[in-house]
Amino acid sequence: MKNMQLAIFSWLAALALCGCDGQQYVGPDTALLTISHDVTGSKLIEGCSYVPVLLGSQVQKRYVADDELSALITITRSDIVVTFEGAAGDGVEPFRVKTKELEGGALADEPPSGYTAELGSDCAVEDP
Amino acid sequence: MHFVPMTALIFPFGLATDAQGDTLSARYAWQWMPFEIGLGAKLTGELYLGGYLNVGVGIEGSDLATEARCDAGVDAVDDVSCSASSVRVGLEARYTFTPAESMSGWLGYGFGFTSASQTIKDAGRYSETSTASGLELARLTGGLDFRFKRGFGMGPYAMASVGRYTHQRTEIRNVATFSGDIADPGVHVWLALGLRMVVFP
Repeated sequence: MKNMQLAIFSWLAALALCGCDGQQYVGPDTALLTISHDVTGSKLIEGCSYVPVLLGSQVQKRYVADDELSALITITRSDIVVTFEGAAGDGVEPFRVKTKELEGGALADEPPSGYTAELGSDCAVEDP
Repeated sequence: MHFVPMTALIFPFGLATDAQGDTLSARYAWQWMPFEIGLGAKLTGELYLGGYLNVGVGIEGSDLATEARCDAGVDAVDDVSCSASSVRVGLEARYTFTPAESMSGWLGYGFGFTSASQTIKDAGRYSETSTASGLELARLTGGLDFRFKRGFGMGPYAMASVGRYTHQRTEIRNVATFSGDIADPGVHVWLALGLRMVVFP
């Protein structure tokens, strides 16, 4: 009987060691778009999205900052592009970041005048 | 009426889109086409006109990043699963060279709609489905029919389905995150080899 118990214990320990009892998840990356007002410092947009994992997949979302500015974020597995729209966004170059460079965070070099735009990672997606 | 069930293996070639590395085989592995159903009528002894519908099922393609995620759970408890499927539906014309003989060759041409999809999901925490759809520009088919008795025939056949995906849809956790045109479409080919039956030939 003792030998049987030892065998079961050894088997369970071996399972735990090789990770056979652990659940596996896809674990997609996330991208956080933040747009702030330079004067007030208030965050107008704080939007979190998944970075898709499949070839060809895309995530596209439009956020409204205020009456003057909205932002369209397009995310593929390799690239993120934020296009600025509205009166404040007219003529502003899109903000582009490679997804592999997302971890360190990125600040738009030439955001719409009066605003700050940045991209980061590790956020919680509530609405895909 | 002419009823044509088929079964085949189909292999991906060419480009899913013109984007770098986005080949059809990177997205989708070879698939099993468990059935194709054709339904139509013979206009003459040699000429058939009808509709077709076929579905292929398989797994993810050769793209390393996708494979790594799909294979991440190779333990006894594996919660990550990946799958792929494809659909083609349309109209075709077929010419049979010697319809009265017990063995006869045939060639066909068709066109229609084509779609392919891949999915990755885990135990309810995340799911992602990417679907590309567009036109099947040319469905080129050919084969041999062996007539065993009146009302039934069977034989090998091959198909080359040349298409172009022009629309892409993505769903993450069952929410559509994108649905729109593909900016840079490419041309792809699904090649099939299989067995075809003919009922009421």
